Amino acid sequence: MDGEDDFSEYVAARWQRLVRSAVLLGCTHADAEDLVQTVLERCLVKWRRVQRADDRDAYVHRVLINAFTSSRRRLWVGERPTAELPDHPGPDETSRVDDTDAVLRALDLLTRDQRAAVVLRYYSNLSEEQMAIVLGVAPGTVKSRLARALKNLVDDPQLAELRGPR
Amino acid sequence: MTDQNLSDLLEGAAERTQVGPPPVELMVAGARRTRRRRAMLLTASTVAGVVAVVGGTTLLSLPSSTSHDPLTPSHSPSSSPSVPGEPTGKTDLTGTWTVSTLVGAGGQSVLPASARGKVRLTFADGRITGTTGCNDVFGTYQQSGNTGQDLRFPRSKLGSTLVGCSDEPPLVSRLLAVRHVSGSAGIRTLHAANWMIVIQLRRM
Repeated sequence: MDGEDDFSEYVAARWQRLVRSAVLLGCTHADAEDLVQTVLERCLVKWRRVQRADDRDAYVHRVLINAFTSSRRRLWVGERPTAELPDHPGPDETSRVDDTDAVLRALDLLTRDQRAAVVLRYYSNLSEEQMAIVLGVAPGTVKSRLARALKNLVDDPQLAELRGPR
Repeated sequence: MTDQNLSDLLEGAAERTQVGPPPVELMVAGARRTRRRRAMLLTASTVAGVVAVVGGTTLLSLPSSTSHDPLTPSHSPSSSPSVPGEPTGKTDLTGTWTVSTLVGAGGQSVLPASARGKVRLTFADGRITGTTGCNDVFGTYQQSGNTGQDLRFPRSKLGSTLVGCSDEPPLVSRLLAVRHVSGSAGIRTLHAANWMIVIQLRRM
């Protein structure tokens, strides 16, 4: 299969999940799309290497995490000009918005490493071995980061409400 | 907290993000540009190395009329491979335009009357410059699609000066919402992902 065809298939299958992973990592929606576009473009430049990789998803996620970390180093990301207030008329989704807000706030309280570990494990569904490759750390470090992150999430009172009977 | 519980919470939060279609053509075009740039740099460094080994004498003896700077990219048609997104007459943005309409995410006009005629954008060689009437705007743009109908202004390249002004139109934030372009004689319309009008431009 031609490299670009193979790439297009991969993107079609993974684009949505990668963008949402970037949102969970802490990007705004627009930033997430731009970040994932940049990541996939970089991967396409060396697509043969991606194809030869033992674990293609791990490779792409590693590029994603590295690009995300680099983007956070820039000072100007703190500035988010907006044209209008982010509220639009629509169906009442208060409950879902509250839930999402609680989850994202809880993730905000984690360290960047812990947050990346949680997103990779529980949203991107990578194994701990894959995560060790993606994060460039030992499997034991992955386990400890996950354990600490889970402890923090368990202690989060807002998430506790979500977990309880509703 | 169980693993399943946490996965469900994250899935629920992630589903709130409505993701548009992937800009595959932009990625392919971007990757091709990167490869071309790298190939050009490699060629230039190789040529420079060869020149250094052979020595400057030969180089100096070449007639100036036939010399060719290897670091200068060739602009012959054969050296510019076709990439998706060659704009047609109706999507070609090259030139200077006045922003005649600026629409907010809620569908309302966000172009103050005091700014009418003052907001301008110039498109040239993948770069934009412009003014909100108060601050200067700069960045790049990417066009793709069979007729160049897909258009983006990458966030990482878009910026503006930061003079404080009252009644400044939110040009940068609206450019970020643009995903498509259409046009007719002297007019270009920039659309959001759902083809809602975001900006209308009139040729100056």
